[in-house]
Amino acid sequence: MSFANPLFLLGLLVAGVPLLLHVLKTRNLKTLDFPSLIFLKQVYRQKSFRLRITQILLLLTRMALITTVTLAFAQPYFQSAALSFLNPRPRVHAILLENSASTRASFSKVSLFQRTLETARTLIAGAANEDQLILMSSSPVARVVYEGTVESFDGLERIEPTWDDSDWNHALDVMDERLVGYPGSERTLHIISPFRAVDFTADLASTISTRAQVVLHPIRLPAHENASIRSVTVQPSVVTQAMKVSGSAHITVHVGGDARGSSAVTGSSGAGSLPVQVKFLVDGQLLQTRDLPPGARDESLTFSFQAETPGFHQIEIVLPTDSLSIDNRREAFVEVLPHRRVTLVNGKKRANPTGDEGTYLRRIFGTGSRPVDGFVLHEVLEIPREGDLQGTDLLILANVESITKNQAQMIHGWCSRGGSTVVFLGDQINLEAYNSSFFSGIGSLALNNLVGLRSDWNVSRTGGSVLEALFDSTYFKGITSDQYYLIQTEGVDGLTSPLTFDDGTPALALISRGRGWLVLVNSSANTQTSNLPLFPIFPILMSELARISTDRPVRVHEVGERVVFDLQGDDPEVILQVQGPDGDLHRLEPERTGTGFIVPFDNADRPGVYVFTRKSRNLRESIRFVVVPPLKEFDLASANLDEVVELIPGALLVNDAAGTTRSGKSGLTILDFLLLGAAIFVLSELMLIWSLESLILRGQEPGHS
Amino acid sequence: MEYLSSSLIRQLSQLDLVARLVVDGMTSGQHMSPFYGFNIEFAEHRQYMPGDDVKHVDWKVLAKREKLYVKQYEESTSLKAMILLDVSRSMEFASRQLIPREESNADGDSANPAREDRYVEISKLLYSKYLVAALSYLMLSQKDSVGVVTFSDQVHEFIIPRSNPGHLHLILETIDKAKTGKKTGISETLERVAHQLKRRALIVVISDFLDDAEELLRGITYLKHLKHEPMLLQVLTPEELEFPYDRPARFIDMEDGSHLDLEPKVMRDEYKRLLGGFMERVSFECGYHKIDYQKFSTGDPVELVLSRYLMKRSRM
Repeated sequence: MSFANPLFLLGLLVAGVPLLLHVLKTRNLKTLDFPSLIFLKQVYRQKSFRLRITQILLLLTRMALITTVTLAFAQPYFQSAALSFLNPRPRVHAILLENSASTRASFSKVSLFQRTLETARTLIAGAANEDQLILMSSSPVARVVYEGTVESFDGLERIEPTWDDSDWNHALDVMDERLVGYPGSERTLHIISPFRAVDFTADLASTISTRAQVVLHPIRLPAHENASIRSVTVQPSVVTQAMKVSGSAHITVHVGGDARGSSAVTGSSGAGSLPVQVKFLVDGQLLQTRDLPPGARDESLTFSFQAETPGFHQIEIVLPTDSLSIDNRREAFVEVLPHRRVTLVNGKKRANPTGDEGTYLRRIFGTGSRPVDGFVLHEVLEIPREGDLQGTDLLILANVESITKNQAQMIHGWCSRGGSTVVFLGDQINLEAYNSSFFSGIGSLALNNLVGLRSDWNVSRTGGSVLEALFDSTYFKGITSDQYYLIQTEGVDGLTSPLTFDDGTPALALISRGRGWLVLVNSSANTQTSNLPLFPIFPILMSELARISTDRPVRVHEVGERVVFDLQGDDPEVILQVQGPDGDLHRLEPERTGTGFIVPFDNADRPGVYVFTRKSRNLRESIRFVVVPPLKEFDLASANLDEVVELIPGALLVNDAAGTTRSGKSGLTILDFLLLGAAIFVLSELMLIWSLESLILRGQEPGHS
Repeated sequence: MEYLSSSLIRQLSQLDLVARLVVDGMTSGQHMSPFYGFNIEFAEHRQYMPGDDVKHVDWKVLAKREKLYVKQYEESTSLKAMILLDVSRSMEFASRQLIPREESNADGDSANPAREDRYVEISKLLYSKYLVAALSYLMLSQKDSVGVVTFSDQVHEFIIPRSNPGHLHLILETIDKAKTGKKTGISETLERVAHQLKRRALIVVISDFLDDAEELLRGITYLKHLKHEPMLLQVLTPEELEFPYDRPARFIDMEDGSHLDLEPKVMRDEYKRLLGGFMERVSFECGYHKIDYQKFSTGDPVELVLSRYLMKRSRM
């Protein structure tokens, strides 16, 4: 027979205490003379046998009790096969500790993770050398760090906090599989965690509770000082020069708290906590600072600035370094385009303003030397070549008499790649030329003839077009045309007519062409055929048409995310490459899909601005996109410990902060129960010794005190 | 009676004083001593004969029947009394008694009035000596013959009964110097005394009677058989009667030196039951044989107990 804790055998000396007390008390008895013991002897003779037997039995019982307690602590182990059934069941200590990013939170230079390790060390130190130990970390994926005897365990140093979440369900799944491998053992699963975002299912928790006694060790900090940026939005994300950029930052402030830890922060400011200073920077230059008072809440802060220079601009929201050091810095990008370039092909430039197609357009888009509201107008007499359209956002063909097939093909191709073309159908256009060249590739679209009917512009009830908010009947009330073209639109894909004449002829037709738009205005750009330019809706409509194809949001991707470019059936025989923020080039290979080709990019591994470029013999296109750090959300306030306990039947919860334990919905640990029981046992034994000494050894009947 | 200081009552002269105080205190203010009938026992009436003393004529009978009768007395001579004092070692057991402040101040030392309560130890033997002194003084003052025997397991002193007043001094001196013996042996002493008394006598036995009950009863019935008039005065202390001890202790028998380690609280009820049973049996047997039996506690004042007893006896 051997003992797990032989030092406890010293407790056997305590078994001699009753005898010692008896001897000492007998020696110290007060002596009294009494006239005659004749009657006392009679009483004593009546009870002497019973008293002596009781005395001996109780002496033996007391010594046996003390011996039992001592042996219980010493934990004897029998090598003999015949007595092996008396040996305690082998014990398995399974420890699942959380090492997710949120455990990096710290207070007074002690992090949650350090406290997690400290708890784990305490548990392991309390285990016997021959006990089995299963150690598992929860993040980024559940991983068994160690499995073996406690004696050969080599430390917790191999576990580090990650920057990811915990995989609770998988962790419990794996742990369940491991525990199944120890049938007949006394299995205890300790889960050490802040229990902030525990999301395992009740079924799994219930299953694992049948395998082992589950003990929850919530880790808490006295308080924490965290503020995190949850999101930053910029609207619009693409602007032109001189436009105002505005945005908002959603910030969670979680500063202060009391001794109960993170879950206790209820909005009251912690004593001595300082306000959180928020800095807004644009391209590294401080834009403004804001102070947020301590507490626990969400804040939305707005910011704005004037975009001056074209290009990508980095907007940074910076919080002071706090205990968690997560989400203290977040960036957003805004693309500032040069003034939107509008190329006007003025087909009928006249001295009379009513005959000049550019008279009203210049008021909207300015001129080459005088940009207006982010637009600059480039006025030409002939349809430009494709190369001349580089940088143009909107091409306006205003009453242009004729279009060749090559010009028409060039314009269609330009539109499909994102350009927008507005065609004013004035009175001097050549119907045959337009039908044979410009409209030939667009279904059965055709101009029939010019009719001299006076008609109002009506907002079509069919609706459903782009820029729908503009097509309100009140905006177009009073707009009339004296003549217009009858247009055949049946069977044209992607065509909508938000504005029509009285006979249903489209007054305005929007035709989707690839990533761009072809817009037909059944009127001249001046007041020759309609009074449209005189109404306030005209400049708004033209401005929005100029933005319709270029106002695409900046593509924002997270680090590590796959970026896919859709070639939409274009010829993939081009050079496809991405230039990273450090200038390194990545050649890309297209992949065929059911409808065309896509180009995936998998190397967005660092934050910054990337440029995707496709080059061919007659095409060069660049798309910029931004890669930002992954969005991490750490919910410091939602420590749903009660819900966790409810999930696990019979789970024991160790509340280290209060030094108390709860069972079921709350609980004591087994160790606590043992210590408590032993303490009560020893105490009762001491009381028993005291009472027996006076009651039994001196001749009193049991229970006669 | 006032308690006297222990230093005073230990002196011989004070025994005399105590006896006087007891008896005088009891009889003072009384028209007639209640103890005359003690030795003049009425027996019967007989017709008046010439030559009879007229003082014995019963005038009440003459008034009723108009015939002369004289009262005849059974004992016309003085009473012979023998007081047996138990001086065994158990009689040395003293009771510690509280003397309240005002009572302790009554010692007469007015110059040093006692400011606090104090305790005196009154043993059963001392208490019994008070009784002997009081009874002797009382009997001698009535011209009765009084003798004293001190005994334990043997007879120590034997003073034959005499009636002269100077005999009191001898009695008091003897009991004051009486040395204690060992065990109590009442039956042997009673037999010996009974044989030595030729005439019928009043035999007063003062003891704690902590002896074998059968032996005791055998002795007193033997006295009764010899026509003597036994009277048993049992003196016990409150400690013996109530067994008031609380803490475990080793109790040593004062007579044979044996000891018992006991828890008094446990033993108390049974002890009192046995002691009470013993006393009840003695009382029953005495009643059956028409023997006076009276218990005394050293916690009670001597004169109070004695007067109560003698009043009771006068009514018998």
